[in-house]
This record gives sequence, C-alpha cells and structure tokens, in this order.
Amino acid sequence: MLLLIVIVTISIGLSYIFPEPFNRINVIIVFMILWLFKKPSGAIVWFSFFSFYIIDLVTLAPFGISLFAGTFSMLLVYWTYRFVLSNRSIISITALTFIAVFVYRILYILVYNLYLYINDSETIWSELILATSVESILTSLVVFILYFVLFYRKNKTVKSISKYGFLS
Amino acid sequence: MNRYIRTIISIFITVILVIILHYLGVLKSGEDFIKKTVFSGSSKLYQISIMLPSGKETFESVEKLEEAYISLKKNQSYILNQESEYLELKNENKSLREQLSFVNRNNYTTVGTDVIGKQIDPINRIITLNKGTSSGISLQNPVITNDGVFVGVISLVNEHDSIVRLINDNESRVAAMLLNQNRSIGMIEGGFGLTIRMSFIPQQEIVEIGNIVTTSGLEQYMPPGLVIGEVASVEKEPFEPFQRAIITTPIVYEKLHVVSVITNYENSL
Repeated sequence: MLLLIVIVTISIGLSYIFPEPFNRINVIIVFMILWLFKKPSGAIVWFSFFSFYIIDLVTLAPFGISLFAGTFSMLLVYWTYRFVLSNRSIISITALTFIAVFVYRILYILVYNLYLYINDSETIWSELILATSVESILTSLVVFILYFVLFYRKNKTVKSISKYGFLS
Repeated sequence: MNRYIRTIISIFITVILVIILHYLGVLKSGEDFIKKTVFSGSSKLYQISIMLPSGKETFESVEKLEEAYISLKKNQSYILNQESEYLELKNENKSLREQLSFVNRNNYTTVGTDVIGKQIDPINRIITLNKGTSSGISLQNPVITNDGVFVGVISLVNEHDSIVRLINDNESRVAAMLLNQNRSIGMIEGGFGLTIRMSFIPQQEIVEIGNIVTTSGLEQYMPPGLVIGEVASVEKEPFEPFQRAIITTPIVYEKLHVVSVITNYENSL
C-alpha cells in the first residue's frame, strides 16, 4: 500500500513538473503495465484499484469515477494480455498501454458526462477526446521506450545466449 | 455463471461498496492519512514546478505574432494613459479620504493559505490548498491572490485541505461586471483552462478592448469589485441578443503559491 502511495505521489508530482503536453503522461498506467509484464498476475487489477482510489481522493471529480474507470480498464488489459496479446513483444506492450489509457479515459468521460447529465450540466466531449488521444499516444510512447531500455535488449541478449551458447 | 462475469460483478460490487463507504465517512481516518502522505510529497514537487520557467507562448503564424505585438503596443500606450490618470485620481482620492475620514467599504475576513497542488486530470482546472474547515474555510468562499485578483471558488472542502475550482475551469460560472460606460453585467465562464469568456452582455452596450472585469457581487458569497481581468477581444453578432468578450487575466494559474480565501465579507453600503 505504501509503495502505491509513493507511486501515486510521484505520478502527481511529475504531472506538475512536466510541461504541456508531457504532463498528460499517465505514470500510474506506465507503472502498472511494466509491472504486469514483469510479474503477470491478476493482482494488477487490485493495485490499480488502490492507485485510482488514491487519485479519487485528491481530485475534484466526483469520488468513484477514476476508481471505476481505472479498475475496469486494468481488468480488460489483464484479460487482453492473457488471451490476445500474450506474446510479450514490444508491440504488444505498446498496444496494451494504448488500450489501457484509452479505455480508462473513455470510461472516465462516459461516467463523468453521465454525472453532468444527471445534474443538468452541459456535457463535454470534443476537448476530452483530444486530451485522451494525446494521453494515450504519449503514455504508449513512454512504455515503448522504457520497455526497450529495461527488458527488450536484455531479452535479446538472453535469446542469443540460449541460441548460440556464447557463454557456454 | 461464467467465471469472467463473476469477476466483473465482484469488482463492480467492491467499487460500489467503497464509494458508499467513502460517502458515509467510514473510511475517513484512513483517507486522511493517505491524503496527508500524498500532499506532503506532491507539494514539494509542486514547489519545484512553480520555480521552473513558464512554457514559451506559441503563435500559429507570423501574422498572429505580429497581431499580438501590435495589440501589445496599443495596450502599452493605453496603460501609460491610464497610469497618468490613475496617479491623478490616486492623489484626489487620498485627499478625499483624509477629508471625509473615509472608511473601507468592503471589509473582508481572509485566510491566507499555501497552494500545494493543481489539476491532474484533463477535465478540471483546480488548485489544492493546505487549509480547510478547521481554518474557517467553507464551500463557495471566493479565493483571491494577495493583490486582490479573483482566482476561483472553493468547491470541495475537507478538515485540513480544500480544492479551488479556478475561474478558467469549464464548470466555473461567476456573475461579473465590466467597468465600461454602461457597467455591463454578464457571466464569466471558463473553457478547459484555455479561455475565459464573459457571456450574456447586452448587445447594445459598448464593450471595448481593455475594459476591466470585476465580480458583480450578485451572488450570495461573492463580494463585488474583485478584479478578474480585462477584455482582450469582443465577439458580437448582429442577429444575437447578447455579445461575448474574451478575458485575459493577470495571473499565471500554474504558478500560484499563496492565496487568500475570503471567509466573510461585509458590505456597508
């Protein structure tokens, strides 16, 4: 739990420090996706649940919107990882990140607009869809780079060793 | 029942349960601890962020840049004129105050607070303050900078922290008045942090670039005369009953570090 608080705090802090549009990078989802690839387990859904619970505590949007959207988007990503994009390639992880952010924001926007509609307020779409696209692309790019730096080259080295027996 | 559907239902029930427990206040002590921990860390990063230089302003084309430059030149000469007029009026006002033992008409009770955070989602334009109900802050209290420029309204208040909805937020609505010949009344609305518009200005009233906009005080918790900004452009269509103005403010909302919350005001007029 403490680790999740630290991750969320770093995520919030980085959004303050990064300039537009890089402050849109969703650090929590970056972390969750890399964690999923490192230790594939359904626990990721509950990590996501607690992370977005913390996010909901510090934002003005009605409590529960991030919690709902974040948890279900990670559940979808976990199942997609298990049954569809399970080959652990750099393309898969980038696609999974895009799906995670995009589904998270689409659910967020839908629930938020439902709330606005119930409260007789003007619903908002176009700006949010644009913001969602920027967030999805930038977050995917960050995961692509991090995966390349952290795992991809290492995996290739391991494959080369096992194939050609360089070190044997 | 399919186990995937069971998983979805159990997560959904957990989410709903947590939301209910949150609104019932059952989780309050734990939530307070989490918020305190998060704010203590993120506020340090926020302090770093306000020390970083602001992003450069970008223009769509050279023509737009030229247009902005000409507008600034015009504004500069206008400000110089205003300044000389202001100095004259200041002296006059000083002597009148002395003569009439003028007492401040607007008596505000304010609470000074530090800004410890800002928005993290693309929807709301907010700042987080490190004081709440324990310092006398309540919902709908107006928030100003130390030199009296209106920033926004308290939209969520807890015991030791509160959230201000900035005037450039999409859901922000404030009754305002233009300091033009007609003293036009209108409504200030934000637009995703990108613009601030003043709507519902009657069509026949004259609005000029540079007119100052203040709060009108027509709302229950809002004192009149808090400066919001000045008119940057006017949108007027002959077939519409109202005209609109785009307002620029003298504040960089991303760099606020100390603000005052007006917890009580008294208008003796």
